[in-house]
Amino acid sequence: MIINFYFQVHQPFRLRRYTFFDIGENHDYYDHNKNKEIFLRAARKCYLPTNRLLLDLIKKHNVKVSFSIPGTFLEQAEMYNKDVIQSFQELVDTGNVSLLNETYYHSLAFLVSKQEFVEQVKMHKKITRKYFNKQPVVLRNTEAMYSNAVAKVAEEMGFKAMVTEGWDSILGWRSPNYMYKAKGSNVKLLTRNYKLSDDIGFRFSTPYWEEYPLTADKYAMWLASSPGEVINLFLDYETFGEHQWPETGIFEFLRHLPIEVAKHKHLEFATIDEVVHTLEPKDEIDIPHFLSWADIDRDLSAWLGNNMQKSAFEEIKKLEPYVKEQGGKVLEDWRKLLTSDNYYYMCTKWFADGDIHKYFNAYDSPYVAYANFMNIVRDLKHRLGLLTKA
Amino acid sequence: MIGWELPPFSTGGLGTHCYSLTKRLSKYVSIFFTMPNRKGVPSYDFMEIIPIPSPSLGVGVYVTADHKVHYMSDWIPHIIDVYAKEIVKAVKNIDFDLIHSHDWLTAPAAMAVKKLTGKPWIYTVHSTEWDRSGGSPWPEALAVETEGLRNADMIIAVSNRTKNMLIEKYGIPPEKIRVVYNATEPITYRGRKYSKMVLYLGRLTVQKGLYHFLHAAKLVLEKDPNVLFVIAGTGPDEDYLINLSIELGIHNNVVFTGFVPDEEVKKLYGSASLYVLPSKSEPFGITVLEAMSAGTPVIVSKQTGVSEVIRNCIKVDFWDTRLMASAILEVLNYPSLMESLRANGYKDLHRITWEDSARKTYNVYRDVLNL
Repeated sequence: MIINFYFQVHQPFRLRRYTFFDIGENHDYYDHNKNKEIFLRAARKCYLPTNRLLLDLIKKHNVKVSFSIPGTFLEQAEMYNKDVIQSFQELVDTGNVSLLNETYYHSLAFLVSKQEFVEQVKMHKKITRKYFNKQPVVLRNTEAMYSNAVAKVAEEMGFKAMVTEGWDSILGWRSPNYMYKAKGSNVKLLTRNYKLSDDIGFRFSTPYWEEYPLTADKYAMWLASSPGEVINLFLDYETFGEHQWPETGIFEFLRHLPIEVAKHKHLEFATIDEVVHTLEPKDEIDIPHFLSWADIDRDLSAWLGNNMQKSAFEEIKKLEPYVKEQGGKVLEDWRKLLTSDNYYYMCTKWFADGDIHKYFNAYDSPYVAYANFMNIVRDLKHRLGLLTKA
Repeated sequence: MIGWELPPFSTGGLGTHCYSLTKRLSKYVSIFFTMPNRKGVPSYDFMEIIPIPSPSLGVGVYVTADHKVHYMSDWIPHIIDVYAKEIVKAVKNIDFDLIHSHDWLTAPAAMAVKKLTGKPWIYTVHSTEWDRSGGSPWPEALAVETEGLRNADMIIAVSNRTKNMLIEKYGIPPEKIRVVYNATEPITYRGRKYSKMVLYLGRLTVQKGLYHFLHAAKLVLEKDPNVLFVIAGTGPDEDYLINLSIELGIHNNVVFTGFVPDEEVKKLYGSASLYVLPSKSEPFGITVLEAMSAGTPVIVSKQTGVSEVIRNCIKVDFWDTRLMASAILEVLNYPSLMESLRANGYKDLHRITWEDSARKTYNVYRDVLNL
């Protein structure tokens, strides 16, 4: 049984409060102070210490993991803390780490157009080669958004495999712990074991969880007793130290996990490239409609569920031919506006009903997030000559 | 319950509050409701009204029987003293377990009843003199209020904002204060809506932040000259605000309605594109719930109690005129924003009900009586 850890690294370019009065006057959309502050905090609490720990585990226990690191993250690391890039490079250089490709901007590009998606993935391939000298064979789409159509594009671009959510309604009687194949293309499919992934990602520090506290030996036991060929543990990398604070014992857990795993002879770590190389598909999976790894609905509703999100996205989509014609900074800004987080901040699913339990937002509310975004869209139109007056 | 007014014989929110609360509270307790009898008292089937003889409450200058000229400032203390003297006679033959009064006007009466009967006294604070005066309290009112708050056995504040003010400005221990939010009776409006009409409805006083609101209006009108601002209500700052709108050169787009009768209030709420409560200091701000109930999106200052309980609105600092203006323009320009605020506003109102306020008030009663 292979343990396939893939960590998603991500920091968006958060937008500043861009008022109606900024339209046509000011084209700087980003909250530089907040982005810097959050990046530096995450670097201190998560990226640097977790990378250091992983490097140690690789040397001592031959641990293997994989990462996906978007262009937007690398840009911010370049601006705010270059040590972060260096520490990822050290990990990759061990040979025990694979990288995935995705959209450069951690974006909803696929929903804009195939062309935009392909361009953003190419940009990401380029930056991955530049920083890490790697050519990934596995593609992931933002937030594990996946359908047969995405796999088809992946195939055309030469990718061997994709990752997505191992959601019950899609898998049916099938276990997520096998390699599958996409319908309509020759792309292998790795499906996330959400139960075992969320045990670490969400439940780890939940006192009312019946398995609390989760220890490395217990978790290794669960892994060992799982049937199948591969356990896909796909997690936000910020789980370590940011979502789960050091006080929860998350680092001790990670430190001890390889030791406990070693006690079970049939368990082994592998990079995602090795998994793709080794395992053969057991079945074909048909996913005609979009699936994602978000919340309980596992669809696109966290980003494009309500009317504000839909209208914001429609507006941005319409600008594609214009920004491409103009290119340069306008195109770059437009692409940053495609980052999925911008739409997530407009989500009212939990907010509207007063359940703030799982809620986070870069703004006061989804309404401000939307208004702010729409002001920026207006300014973009202004720059494109589509509006004569604000 | 020791009240000051009840609809339809009311001039302010205090009467409406007492009506809505007692109507639901009567499921849990039986209520005797005392109020000064100025022009008559209403009758309801859910509680017994006890009228207390009172001089009339007019406006402006008064001449009493001794030929002395009185101004509002010494007339009010006179009326509340009469209330305190007369109430003692009226409640002698009533059997009750606790006293519940509202705001400083009824505090001396409540204190007199407590002195007479020794029953525990709960004091609901709808606003403090610090809120009402915009930071420069009238010493007489402050003295009455402070004495009342210190002597009451338990205080109900209409928001955490008010609770904090009671702790900071009056030195009331936090454990003596409970927070029970206001709610609203449903308002249905099925008529037309203006596409660009921004409404404020309430008293025209300094604490309402209308100075900043008019400055925000000016910024809005610079971007869009077709927006109409309606400022509904009366108050001491009316002339000043009208002059300010002229000074700012926006008088053609700002309508001051003066006093608005109840049936017109509903229409105003419903037909507005947007309701703004720009208060500098607002214990609660029930008009916000009323506007939401009528299907109108709201922008509310962060310096209000109501902003603690509602989520589906836009919140700004009252002094941030630029951001307030931006928010107004955003709601008026982005239909999905207006519609989402409107539709989700009802979700807030599902949570914020008089039934809930009454249940929480009853829980305070039980705690005070150790039930």
